[in-house]
Amino acid sequence: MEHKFQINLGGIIDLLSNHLYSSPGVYLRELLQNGVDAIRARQHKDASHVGSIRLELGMTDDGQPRLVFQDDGIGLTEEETHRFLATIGESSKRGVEAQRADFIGQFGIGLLSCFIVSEEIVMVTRSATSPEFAVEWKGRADGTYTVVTKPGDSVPIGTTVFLRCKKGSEEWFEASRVEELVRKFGGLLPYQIDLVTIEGTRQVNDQDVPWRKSYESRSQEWSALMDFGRRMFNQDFFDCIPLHSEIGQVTGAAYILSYSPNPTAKRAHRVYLKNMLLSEESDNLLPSWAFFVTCVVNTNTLRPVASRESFYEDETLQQTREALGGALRDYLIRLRKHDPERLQALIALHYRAIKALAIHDDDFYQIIIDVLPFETSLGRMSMGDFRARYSPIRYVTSVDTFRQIAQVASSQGLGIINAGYSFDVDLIEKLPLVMDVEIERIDSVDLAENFEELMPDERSDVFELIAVADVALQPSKCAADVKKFKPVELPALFLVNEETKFMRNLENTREVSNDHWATILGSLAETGSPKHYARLCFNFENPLIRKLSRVEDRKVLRTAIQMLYVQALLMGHHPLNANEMALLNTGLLDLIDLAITGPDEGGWVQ
Amino acid sequence: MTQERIAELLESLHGLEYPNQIAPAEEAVHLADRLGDEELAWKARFELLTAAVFGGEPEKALMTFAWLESKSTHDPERFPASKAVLGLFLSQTDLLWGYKWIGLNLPDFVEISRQDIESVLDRMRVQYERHQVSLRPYWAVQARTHRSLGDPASDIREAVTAFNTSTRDVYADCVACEWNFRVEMALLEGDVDRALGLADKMVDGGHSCAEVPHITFSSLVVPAWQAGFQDRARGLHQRGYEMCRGNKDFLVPICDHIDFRLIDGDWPGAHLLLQRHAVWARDTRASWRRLRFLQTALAVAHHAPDNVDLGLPSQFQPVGLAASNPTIVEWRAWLRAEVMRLAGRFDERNGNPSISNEVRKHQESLNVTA
Repeated sequence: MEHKFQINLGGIIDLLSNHLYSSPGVYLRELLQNGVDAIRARQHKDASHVGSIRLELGMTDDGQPRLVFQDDGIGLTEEETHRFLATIGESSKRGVEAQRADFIGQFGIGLLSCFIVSEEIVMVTRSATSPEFAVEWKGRADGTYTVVTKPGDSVPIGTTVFLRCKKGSEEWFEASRVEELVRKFGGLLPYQIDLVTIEGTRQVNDQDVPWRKSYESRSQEWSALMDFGRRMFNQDFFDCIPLHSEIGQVTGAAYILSYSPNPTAKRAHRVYLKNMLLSEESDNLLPSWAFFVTCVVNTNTLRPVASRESFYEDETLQQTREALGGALRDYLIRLRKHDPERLQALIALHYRAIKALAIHDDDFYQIIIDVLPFETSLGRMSMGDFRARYSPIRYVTSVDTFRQIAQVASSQGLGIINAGYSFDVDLIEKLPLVMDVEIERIDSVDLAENFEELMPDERSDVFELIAVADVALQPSKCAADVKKFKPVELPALFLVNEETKFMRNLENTREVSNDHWATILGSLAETGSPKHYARLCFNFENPLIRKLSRVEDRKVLRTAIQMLYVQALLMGHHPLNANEMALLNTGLLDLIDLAITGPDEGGWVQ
Repeated sequence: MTQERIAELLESLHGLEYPNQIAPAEEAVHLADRLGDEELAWKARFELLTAAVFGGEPEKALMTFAWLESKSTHDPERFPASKAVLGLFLSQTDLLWGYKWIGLNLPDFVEISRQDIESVLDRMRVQYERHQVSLRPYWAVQARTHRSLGDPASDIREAVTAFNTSTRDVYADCVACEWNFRVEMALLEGDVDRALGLADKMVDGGHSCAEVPHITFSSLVVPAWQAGFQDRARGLHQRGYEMCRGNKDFLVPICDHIDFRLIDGDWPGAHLLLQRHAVWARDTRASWRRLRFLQTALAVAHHAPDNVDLGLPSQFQPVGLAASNPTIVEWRAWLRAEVMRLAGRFDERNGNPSISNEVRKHQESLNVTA
């Protein structure tokens, strides 16, 4: 047996006001939407119709705030009034006209939102299609309504809604609040919107939207756009870029931020759908790399998802995004060609975003790569300058590795790029694909290849040091070596490449893992293989190491080596595992003890 | 100061795209470890887990998860496996959620035995049952693991049936991911029409997340083309590739796009993508991802003109090739040998010839003859 469930209008209104709508103020958005739909419908029948909206704030006889909202749109017949307002979900956009894309909104649902701020809604409407009659509809929050038909002569074509403020909703009828909300939701509407208050009548929307006007020169257009952006976002911008895409029917402007945005801040764009505000937090209209701009755009055909914060990921959106991204890209290319100084200023602010675009776009990459900045062992430098001085292009892939070897590299006169920051590895590794450039990814092990070897007699001096160090460092899976390198102040360098670093992390994790995971991690590690050993490279140029090579007491030598090992780890920002922490603790105490008592009266060095 | 730096690093992650989150998350973990602050290290590792899973470094995800699970096993009160409130709300990643990611990634490592993979899945099930949450995600992982290990189709079907009859709760994958799962399973059954229809419904429903529809579109490009929907496949390729091209976690989907360009007769386009993404394959430790790339590279090399320079980055230089600039003939031979060697290792691990069979089918579909 089929049953029909009942809808509780009071419950629906509560749902709308407390859960679905973000604020009671949306009743104005819904009224505006209904008004705009009605004007468009009338314009469809009469192209010469201009359309306007009027809001009047006043008081009822018993002193309650009142709003009269009037549009000169198509109006409703009595039959339409019953149909759209008696059945929730029925919309004036249905039927034949539903096929056209220029009607939006759900008239009945929209009007229902007024119950959030008013106990009763009175609507007087006169249809342009049957103007001989006007209809007065009076609806109450308990779901009952009355309809009265009267002669149309004294009623203008269009619809007027009368709202009497319910207790507790007074702030939503205040002139300043109403003006703010109308400006927010309908600020771009191409119809004049007047607000009438006790102080008089004023137009509240800005019909001077720059992209709807034509200008005599580009500089005029630029000034108008910049001025518009300043007013809309209440901030100054570095520059602006007009946006236009046939696909998605998007027009608007992108504003380049005058500061480096915090990478954590989500870039939100102000998006209007058919000139009504859709969202101030739209996040998928532009490519992900375009985080250096904030946009204001109007679209006529993109489909918003239910949350209204983004659009459906369909083919139209994809093509629109490409077109808008293309406009930003073209702007950057124009700067590269015609205004390099301005480009430099922009890069100083937004190099991350420009790097992200360069990765994404091969042609743009070729044009821009040489002016992009990188951190190098010789300071910040553009790729062009670096390429002019060094070949091959040597780079490291992590900030930690760079910290470990930058000082040593610059002492050797080697130029190394720190590619540990976002996008830099990808940018460098793309070089040989687009131009005749040799690149070389290096790590501290590779760097040590350039260190000077010891002379044969020097080598025999350090034989004992290496032998003791190999044994002392064996539990830490580290081998020892002695070479000469700069700076001389550095006694030892911990040499590790990506492979050994990974193995070291793996071993450290295994140490603290339960049996299950110790087995699994063990499978990943080819444990015990000397090729994965890290190396501690002592610097024979360093006076301490020369002295150490002459220490005969093996205990002293062993302790000193272990301490140098721990120090090299700390210098390289490597986390210490439990064994290394123990080495640090016991070694330090041993050295203090030795310093106080000495191995014998003659001191350590023989 | 260090704690502030860690907080700053963790905060910075949310504004970065994958895979750029990995380095700061690792730094946060290192700093927390050096500080000896276990709570902070626990928190930072969850961020690293997420960053590594979605940033294409699954080996780091495994290590991180090993640490987290071990901590939780040792001191479950201080480090609880579940952070769901009343089984209803879950605002952050926890261990129970992490099992899903780890379960999916384990089979990608040929070094990890079938027994160890199954043991992690068993522990996942035990943990889910212990916390009285739905096994729906477990069955999704189980179905995919059966596929990865070359198990009989009946095992996969059984897991999918169990998935369908389990309820959704806070640990269920997002709606977009579940749509993608349905598409995957339809493709596995060879029902391309149904897979395309499901993908349409997914898009019409506005469902998307960090990986969907990226991987969905990519998985459909070749099957759609082969089923006669060439224009549809081109559209999927155009959109899917753009979504995947910036994150090395999408190495396998990228291979689908390269394959597509090959069968669509665009060898230069396929070669361009092969070169562009070769560094991802060079760097990955996940042997399945590497094998998948090598299969595609073999197909590109096979169809390459004889005088062409394959031009892969020098770091990708195959070990064992004497010449510094291998000829295309040398590349073909090396790639074929490497593909067969790795596939053989997978077969040995899985205890069945499923991967070699898959490789053979792939080669046939791309007209790669011996």
